[in-house]
Amino acid sequence: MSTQETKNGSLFTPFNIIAGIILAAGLVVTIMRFTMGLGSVTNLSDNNPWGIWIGFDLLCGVALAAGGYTTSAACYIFGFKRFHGAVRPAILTAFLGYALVVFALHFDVGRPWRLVYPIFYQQGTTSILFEVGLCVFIYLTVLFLEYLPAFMEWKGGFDKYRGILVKLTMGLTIFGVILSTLHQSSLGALYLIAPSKLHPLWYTPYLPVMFFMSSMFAGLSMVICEGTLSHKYFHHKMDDEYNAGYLDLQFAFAKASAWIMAGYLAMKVLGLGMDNRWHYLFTGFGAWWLFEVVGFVVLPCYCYAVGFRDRNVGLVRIAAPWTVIGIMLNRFDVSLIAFNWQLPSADRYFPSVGEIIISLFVVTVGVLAFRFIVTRMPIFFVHPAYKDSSH
Amino acid sequence: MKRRHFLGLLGAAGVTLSTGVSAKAASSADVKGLPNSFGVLFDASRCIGCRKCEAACNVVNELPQPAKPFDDLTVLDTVRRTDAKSYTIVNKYTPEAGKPPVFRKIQCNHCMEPACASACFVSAFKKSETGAVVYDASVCVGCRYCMVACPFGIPTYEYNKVLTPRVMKCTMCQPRILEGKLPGCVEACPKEALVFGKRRELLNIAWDRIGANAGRYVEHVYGEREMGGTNWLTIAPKPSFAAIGMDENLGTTSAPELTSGALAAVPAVAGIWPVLLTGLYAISKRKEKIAEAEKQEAVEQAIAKTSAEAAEKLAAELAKAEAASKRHTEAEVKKALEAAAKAPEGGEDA
Amino acid sequence: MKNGKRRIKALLAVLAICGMGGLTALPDGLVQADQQGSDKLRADIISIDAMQAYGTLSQPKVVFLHDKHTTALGKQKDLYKKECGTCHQSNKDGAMYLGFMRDDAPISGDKLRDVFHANCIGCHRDMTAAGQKTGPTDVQCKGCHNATPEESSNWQPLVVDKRLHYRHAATQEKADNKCGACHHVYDEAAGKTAAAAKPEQVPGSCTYCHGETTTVVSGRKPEKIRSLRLATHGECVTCHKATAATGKDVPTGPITCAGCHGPLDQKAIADTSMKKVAKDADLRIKRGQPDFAMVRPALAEKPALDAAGKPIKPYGMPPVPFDHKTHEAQNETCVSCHHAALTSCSEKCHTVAGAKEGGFVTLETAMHKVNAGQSCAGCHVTAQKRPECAGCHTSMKKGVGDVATCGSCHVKSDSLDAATAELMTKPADKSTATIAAGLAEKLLATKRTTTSTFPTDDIPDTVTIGSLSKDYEPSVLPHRKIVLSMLAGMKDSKLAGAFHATDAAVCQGCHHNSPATKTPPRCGNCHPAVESPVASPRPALKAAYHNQCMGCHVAMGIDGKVVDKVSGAKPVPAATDCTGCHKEKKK
Repeated sequence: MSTQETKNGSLFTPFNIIAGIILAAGLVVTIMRFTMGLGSVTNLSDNNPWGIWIGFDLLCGVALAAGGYTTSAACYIFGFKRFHGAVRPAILTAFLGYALVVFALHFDVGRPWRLVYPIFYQQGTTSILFEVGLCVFIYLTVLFLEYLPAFMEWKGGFDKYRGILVKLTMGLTIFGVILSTLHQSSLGALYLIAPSKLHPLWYTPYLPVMFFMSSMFAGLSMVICEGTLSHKYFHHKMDDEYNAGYLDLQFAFAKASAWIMAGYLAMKVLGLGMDNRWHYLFTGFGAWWLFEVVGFVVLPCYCYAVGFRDRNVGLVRIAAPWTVIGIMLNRFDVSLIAFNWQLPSADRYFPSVGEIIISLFVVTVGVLAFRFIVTRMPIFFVHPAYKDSSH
Repeated sequence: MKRRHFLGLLGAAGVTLSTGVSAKAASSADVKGLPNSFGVLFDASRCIGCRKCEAACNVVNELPQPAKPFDDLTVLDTVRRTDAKSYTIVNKYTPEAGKPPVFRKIQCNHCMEPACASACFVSAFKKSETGAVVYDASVCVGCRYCMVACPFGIPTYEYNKVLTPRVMKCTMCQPRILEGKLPGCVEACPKEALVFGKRRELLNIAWDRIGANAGRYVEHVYGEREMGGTNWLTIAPKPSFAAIGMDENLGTTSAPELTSGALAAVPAVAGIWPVLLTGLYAISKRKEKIAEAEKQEAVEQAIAKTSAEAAEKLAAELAKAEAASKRHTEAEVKKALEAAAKAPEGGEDA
Repeated sequence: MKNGKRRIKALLAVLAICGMGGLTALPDGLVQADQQGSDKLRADIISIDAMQAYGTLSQPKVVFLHDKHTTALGKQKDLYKKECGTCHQSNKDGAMYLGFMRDDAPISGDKLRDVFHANCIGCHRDMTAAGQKTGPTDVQCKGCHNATPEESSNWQPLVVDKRLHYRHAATQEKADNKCGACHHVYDEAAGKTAAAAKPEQVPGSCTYCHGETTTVVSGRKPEKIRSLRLATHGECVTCHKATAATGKDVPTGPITCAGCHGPLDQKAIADTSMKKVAKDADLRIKRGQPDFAMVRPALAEKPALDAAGKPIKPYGMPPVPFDHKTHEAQNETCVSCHHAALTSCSEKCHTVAGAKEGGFVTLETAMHKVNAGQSCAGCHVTAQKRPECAGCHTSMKKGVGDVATCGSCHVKSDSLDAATAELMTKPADKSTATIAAGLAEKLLATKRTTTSTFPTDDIPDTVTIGSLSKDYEPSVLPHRKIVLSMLAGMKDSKLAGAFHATDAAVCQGCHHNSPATKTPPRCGNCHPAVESPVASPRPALKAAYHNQCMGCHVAMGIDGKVVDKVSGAKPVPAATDCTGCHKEKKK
């Protein structure tokens, strides 16, 4: 499975067929959504105003796109020059991730044409969501600017502008870290306003810190995952510089993730102790919390640590998607499962087929865009004409 | 770092700082007190569940007709919530089996520091001077964060509209109270289970009623302090508010207070992070430079050392060579002398 | 890493198991099932938790079914030779200890546990050896220490009401001891209790000395005063058994738990009482108490002196003439009012200023406190909760509100002023009892005994309420019928008669907060026709009508029911039945 051209030049590879089906279904649901309203395609209700379009597309999307700021920070701020080759793929993943978040929001929000109102028309500055929106808006721009040189190199003829952008790298990176800190934590802070609706094991005044810390190892794990997958399917696009640093990167990120996950666990345990919530662990939700934390933070953290210590890249490559699933589970728990936990089961939310289709649709669009870009633009390789420029 | 870089970073920090947020409630008015705001007192022991309030609200707000008419009291057998067509509903509860049921009217509580107003990122909700929390559909984006934020689960959404979906909730009949009229539900209630007036006066009436009827009411006015205080107050007959479906665990912290901490972190991050990150960058750069310099020095030292060694070796070799040549010369001289000494004995025949 | 792949697979397997566990546990967190419903109701449940005195229980309390054991053992004559003595030891005087297989000497926790285990399980083992169906043996701790027993208790306390007392007293009429069979008095000099043979010697209810728990009074001989439970079971049950033992089929009281404490059995006792006690029997528990009395503060031992040394005339409320006989008829026991002793309330405990013995409850509070059933006002408020009274009295202020009502109890009559004043100078004891009784009777004769109001012709037959008529026709209120039916409901009540002292008094139930006259003002005079945006405790007219009318119907419990005894009568409209009171206007 590779680019659109296989040996016999057919477009109908299994991957393409499946992607095509998802796209077609997505288009149908899109039309339904925009002609018949949200109620016709979603299971959203007055008790459950946010579903998987927020829980998955927004929360998971933003958390998993954190690879952009983490990788560029590692390379440019902390000076790990050997990860340089991984920056562009990470930035691209992040850029597409955020672009898709905004894309998915257009489905979820009641009047998507007004999405720019909070930024340009009337600001609700007391709202955490305002802060999220503003930061995502600015950060998407930053990511776009960081991605743009690759596009310009591919297109050619934009040397002057490309030069300016390259000079801005440092500033954009720092700005990106600031913005990421703000909006990653704010996504957690969104739920601070509803303590009565979120289960005590997940609700803590430290939700923003939890979300921020988990976004760090989410991003690092996503970079490892993306690298593993890209190596399998886009190997032919990779140059020596990329390949040279690739393994090192995975181990370094494994080590960093393990450390951050340990810190995150400490915060979780401290949070339980501070509010004396231990007795909740002996309930059904407590078992679920342990399942999430032990099964999807403790164990992958250990896996990462062992993998790094023994230089066992196989373990690292198991721990990475495991961590990613753990992040998704955590975001689902906060937004869907432990949210409205006190409602009777008849009033609880489960996504509809339409919502699942759109979420798949959004992800597929992202994957296809990724594939399109990396097979053409200098993401995994350095463009021969720009070998000497510092970037 | 270059000056341009530094200025660029400052500018970036400045931009983020300028979007500084005030970590208070909906900034439309200083909500602290609003001493002349109006409210409504609901006495659950007076309500008979006749649903006349629901009917009046429907008429006053020109809402669509419901599936079952308002005089159909069988709807009270199911516990309902507000929805896009009903700003207010009445529910029936039976706190003690065998005793008569108690009814409760549910509608927006018009909090003193509304969670919806705090949560809305386009300031579509405002706490007005009259005490009513009013909604502006002309800016609403439909993100529904207000529905997540409301601790009483009141706002509803018109999910079935495509172009003009709105958040629907009780308005305390703001247009009517501005004209000096009563809200529709208050006017319709035959038992005056709903009393309209200034919030302070309603609190006094509520406590007087509780005191005058010892043992009848729960000794608490719901909404006096819950979630920072609400303009819609409720008193209920014993046993409890929980028995009529009201959440007794909400606490007295208002919603804006819950998020003010997180919001306050924004300028802090925006201010500290550039310095911190730039510092880290500078440290890593300096480390690099030092490493480079040390490398240079090491190389130079190595060169010097090997040169010195080479020179020494050369000198030794030269000395050796010289000595060898000297010896060689001496040996040759000696041989020549010996040869010359031998020759004269051969005669002078030459 | 060695065996890396295998290790990972094992890890994943463990994870999957944890995951399944978590998933199955999740519904538990979501579902709040409350599975508790038992139909095994018994009155003989004894919760054995004596070990609690030694620390937290390591096992759940044992639910012991006393009647079940006595019945079962009763069938095994050879194992039950000593009857109660099989399990309960007796002291040297023959009084039974109510603890299981032990006396009341202090015992250590371990020994107590052993007493229970050895004897309970030992007996069960003996029964098993004898081939009988029996309780758990020690292999099954949970057999006895069951945290979720099927049985639940429907035990009810027993009150010796007047009929029951009459039946008991009848059995002792010819005995020497008479009252002393049950009632005893503590003789401090002798250091023990002595039977109170004569009625006048009886100190009163058992509860005056025997409290919830066994009290220890140091210096007293004996030091311990048995708890009420120990005392009653120790005396009543043993007496019933002794009576039964005197001959075959001698009628006696119950000896099983359920026999006294089970709801069905209590009903049976009440039925028997009704049958056995003649309708015209004098149920009054006689102890030489007066028929009438004057309720007043005890005379101060030393009269207060003014600056000149002359005694100050004690000013106070006029004393309250009290019909003791009628009040006795209204209550089952003396304890209803004489809650701690039969002596004077105000001498030592509820003095005018309050005293430590009375919990610092002043005399005024003791007489007027609305929440206390044993105070005058409190008991009257309880009486006002009856349906025939509640219609008006639910929404009225409880207890003494208006100073105008003081005179209902503190009766003053000009012709008897001098005699009253003279009585007040003498102490309130036996010497003045006869005089006080006579005076009280005369004062009470000046009061009404039945409620009456204005002549029927003066009561409007119907009242048309139509000032607010908009969507509905004016309401036609059957005014006279309502007034007469209210009066019928209280015709036998002396209490009502005494307090509804004037003809206009009953009108005030509906025509409230206004002067009491034959022509009360219109409701609309005070209640505004239109509700205003200014909050007020006084409702507007529509709500005033609805709260008064509907409130009364609901409080009386006639909401939606037919109460009029006339044939073809319509039900009193339910609160939500608008047209029941006023027809809808045709548009």
